[in-house]
Amino acid sequence: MEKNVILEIKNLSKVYESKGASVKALTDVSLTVNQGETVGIVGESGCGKTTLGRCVVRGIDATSGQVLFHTEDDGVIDFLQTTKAQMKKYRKDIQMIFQDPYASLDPRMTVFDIISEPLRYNSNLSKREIEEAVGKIAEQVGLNKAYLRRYPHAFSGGQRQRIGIARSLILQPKIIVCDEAVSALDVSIQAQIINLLEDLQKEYNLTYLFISHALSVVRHISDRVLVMYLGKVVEFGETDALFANPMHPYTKALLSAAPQPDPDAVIDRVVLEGEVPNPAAPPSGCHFHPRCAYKTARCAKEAPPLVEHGDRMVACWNCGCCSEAD
Amino acid sequence: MKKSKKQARIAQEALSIAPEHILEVRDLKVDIKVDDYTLNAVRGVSFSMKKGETLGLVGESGCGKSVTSKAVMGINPDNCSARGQILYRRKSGEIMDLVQLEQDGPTYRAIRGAEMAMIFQEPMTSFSPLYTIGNQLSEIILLHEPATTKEQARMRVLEMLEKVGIANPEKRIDQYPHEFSGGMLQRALIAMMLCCNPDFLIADEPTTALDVTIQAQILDLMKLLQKEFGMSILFITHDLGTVASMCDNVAVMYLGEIVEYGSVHQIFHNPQHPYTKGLLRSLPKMNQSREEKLYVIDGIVPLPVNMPPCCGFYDRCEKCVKGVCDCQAIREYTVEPGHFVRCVMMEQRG
Amino acid sequence: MITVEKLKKNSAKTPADEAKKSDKYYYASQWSLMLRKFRKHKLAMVSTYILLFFYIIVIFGNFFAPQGTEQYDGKYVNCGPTPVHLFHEGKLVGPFVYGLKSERDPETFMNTFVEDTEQIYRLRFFTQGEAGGEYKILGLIPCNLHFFEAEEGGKVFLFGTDNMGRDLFSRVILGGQISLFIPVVGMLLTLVLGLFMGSLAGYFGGWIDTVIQRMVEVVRSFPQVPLWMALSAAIPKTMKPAQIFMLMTVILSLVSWPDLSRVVRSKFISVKKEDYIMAARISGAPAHKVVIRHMIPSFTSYIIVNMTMSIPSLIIGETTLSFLGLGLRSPATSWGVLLQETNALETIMFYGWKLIPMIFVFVTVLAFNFMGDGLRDAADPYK
Repeated sequence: MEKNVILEIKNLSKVYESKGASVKALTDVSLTVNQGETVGIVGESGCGKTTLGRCVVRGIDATSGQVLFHTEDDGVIDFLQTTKAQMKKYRKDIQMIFQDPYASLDPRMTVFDIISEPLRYNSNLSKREIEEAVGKIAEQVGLNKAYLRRYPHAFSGGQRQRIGIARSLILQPKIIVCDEAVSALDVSIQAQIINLLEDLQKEYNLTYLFISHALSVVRHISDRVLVMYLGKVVEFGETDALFANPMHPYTKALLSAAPQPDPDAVIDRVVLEGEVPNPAAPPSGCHFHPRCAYKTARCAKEAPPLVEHGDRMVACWNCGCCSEAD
Repeated sequence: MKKSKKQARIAQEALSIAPEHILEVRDLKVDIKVDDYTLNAVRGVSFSMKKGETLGLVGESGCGKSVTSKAVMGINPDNCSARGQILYRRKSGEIMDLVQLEQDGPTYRAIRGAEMAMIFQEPMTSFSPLYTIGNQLSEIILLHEPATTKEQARMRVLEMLEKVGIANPEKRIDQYPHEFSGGMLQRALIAMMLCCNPDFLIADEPTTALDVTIQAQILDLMKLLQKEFGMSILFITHDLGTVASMCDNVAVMYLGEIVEYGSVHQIFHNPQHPYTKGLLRSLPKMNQSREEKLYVIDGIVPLPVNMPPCCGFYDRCEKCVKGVCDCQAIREYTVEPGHFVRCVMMEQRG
Repeated sequence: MITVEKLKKNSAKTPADEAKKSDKYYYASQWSLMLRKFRKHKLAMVSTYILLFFYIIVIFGNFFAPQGTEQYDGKYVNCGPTPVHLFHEGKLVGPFVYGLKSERDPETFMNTFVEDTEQIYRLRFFTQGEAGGEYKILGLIPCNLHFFEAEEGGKVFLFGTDNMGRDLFSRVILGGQISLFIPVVGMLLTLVLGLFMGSLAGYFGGWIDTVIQRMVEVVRSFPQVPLWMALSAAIPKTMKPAQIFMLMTVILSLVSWPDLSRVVRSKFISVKKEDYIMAARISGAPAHKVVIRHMIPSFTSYIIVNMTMSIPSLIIGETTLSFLGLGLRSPATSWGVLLQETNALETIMFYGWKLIPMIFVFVTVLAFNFMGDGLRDAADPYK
């Protein structure tokens, strides 16, 4: 199957300035996303994964870089520098599902109003058409139509997340950024939502950017995985290959640290020393070098570029150092 | 929980638990009064813990795992009422029924901290932002051991900070909580609780708020310290992965009941209760094929209001037997020694 | 977090009315939830009823007050309250007052009034009052209906009279018209000012925020009473009561907007970070729609609470100004004016009833505070 690129992120950077200090939340992040695939974005808190997602949907403005969106008529527009008309036309193509099913729904609006709100800004459908559209989408995400006139407080976490999904789907977007979309949910509910997301993807040929810290969930749902550390991409590759043979020492440590629901799992755990450094004062060279067991003199001086190594992209001077040990 | 002293004394006299046990909870029931209704948060929970054992209490939100642990610790808010027995063996060997004890009374306060400690999910909220870490830790030592001098306490704190893996403790001891990262703070909290050398620890989702790599560090640390100090740990979490790597025995809770209890191997390799099975199957696993769909338990956890004494899981259960599961109290069946299930399916199997 | 969705599942096991109750809860908006919580706050409910009662009486003040502001009776100066009786010599007569006799204390030579049990004057209700005179309902419809008065020749002074022979009960009611409405008008002005300044500062931030914050600090750093005094001293003494009334409200709100603007500003800033605001923006909502549809509704309840809590200080403010002689003056009446007239030791010694207006100030301020407490508890989602 030929892969159609739908989104290209090029050298995206985001710097937060506040009172003299500047924090680089994202540094030169680049990736391409194909239509219909799920790209998982993993990393620990402060790695910039949430910032990346929000920059892509333009929830916040990136400092520099490009988010190139390939439209259906083979045009390419930079999502960060659109004209007003373009914005109006294409904003609906990239939508977002939020982590917190409680904070992301306006408690003062009924479920119907919440789901239909995007339609009000992006279409001039009649009242009846809106009602039909909302009813259809509600059914699809597994919400009882009879509940649409209720307020969010009447729903449990899983139900609310369905409402959030319905809202992001109603504009029939091409790309959905899922920002920790299942992290706040209980295990049994999490499985329901993951399956729902997968079903919807198949039906609408959706493309997901799936941001999460839960490695097993990312592994399950993603086709390719991007690993981030302190605002930079450290490894990017096919899910199975990456999980089977991580090439960046950080990826390896991250994977080995994930607890597995099996008391007999033989875990060759790489326990990282120390903490994630303060992003306001990141270490020199490769940001990971103070915690890396394989560091060399060069790591402290120069930052490694993200380069292709066989089936994936890795940013490490001693790429493969950790996998050879196996 | 308040009873007259005399009554309490009578109740405390005839208590005994198995010699190897440190804690026995018998038919614990906790009701929580909320505005218009009463939640039956814990509906008859019984379990026991040996010295040095780690028991995992697992379940989804609202299953009563936290309420159970807080009942043991005696820190449930006033709108909760507990019945049943929580028999605890003190360091002195005396056995007490904690349910009969006044929550804020001197005995309970002496037990909390000095013998029984608790660490929480959010380490930040366990510290006062106004005092240095060293101050807060030595205060605990001075409180429980009035004989120590301030210098001795400070030395102990330094020793503890070093023990929990905080680098550069001489500098760290005079820092404030906000200068610590989440992982460091959790370490400091563990140090705080170790300061009084408790023999029973309740860990309520201690690693949930932490990053994966830090979580691994903290779990390793807890295991290490448990070996060194011989503590019993009641480990409360919703994360089955952590349980698998941390616990000896596991109690799976659903809607205020323990639906299955067994050793970690029995629970993970031979789960019997449909809920336990479903929970394990619905979890994405690292070694599973990615094409496979996740198993789904339909429905949502209901609120335990006006619960009949039946199986709480009946309306989400594939194997539910109408007329039995939804109206009768289900007894506990023994699968094999040390492995108990509360499910009618076991009856049919004989 | 307890959700009702969960509750519903079990409602099959509970009585049917319970299910109905939770069903209502689903469809309840934030406002009706708030109201429901408020109703559970007993003290606040009692306070609300008391205030409602006060405002109704005061709105139809001229109907309830037996005398107008301009009327006085030189014969009955400093007369104590006249009790209303039901029985005369063991016989039911219905509500009546005895006649009043003037007596001079032989030692102090003070004039006092005692009841003359020979004379009985029945109270008549809904009279076309000759004594009360004409007035206009709500300032529009001319009318001279009065709630009650004594029969021809009798006098009824429920709260006694002042040193000009004016009925204190009437003056408390008519004074309430000023004392209870200045705060409300002042609050509305404060609301407009505070909302405007607060939203400017909160939404735009940057230098606009800085300028407004400094203004707030300047206004707040003035001691309140001297500032009022200075501003009130600027009111020309020849002005009509209505104009003085207006100016006083303006003065009060000029001093009290900073608090509200701070609340609004901080709410704006915190709400801006909410996920659902981001969600609305991502779905393409223009900025003004986000503000109107999501941001302002999210803190209206807080504003209402804040405003309710600010009324007591405005009541006290008006009372203080008038008490200091800087607000309204007789014959125009407010509770502050009434209290100012008690500004002498002899009042407390001999004419204790003249302190009755103080009770009303006290009760009103307390009631507003309790109502505000109830509203705040009801609006707080984290309880």
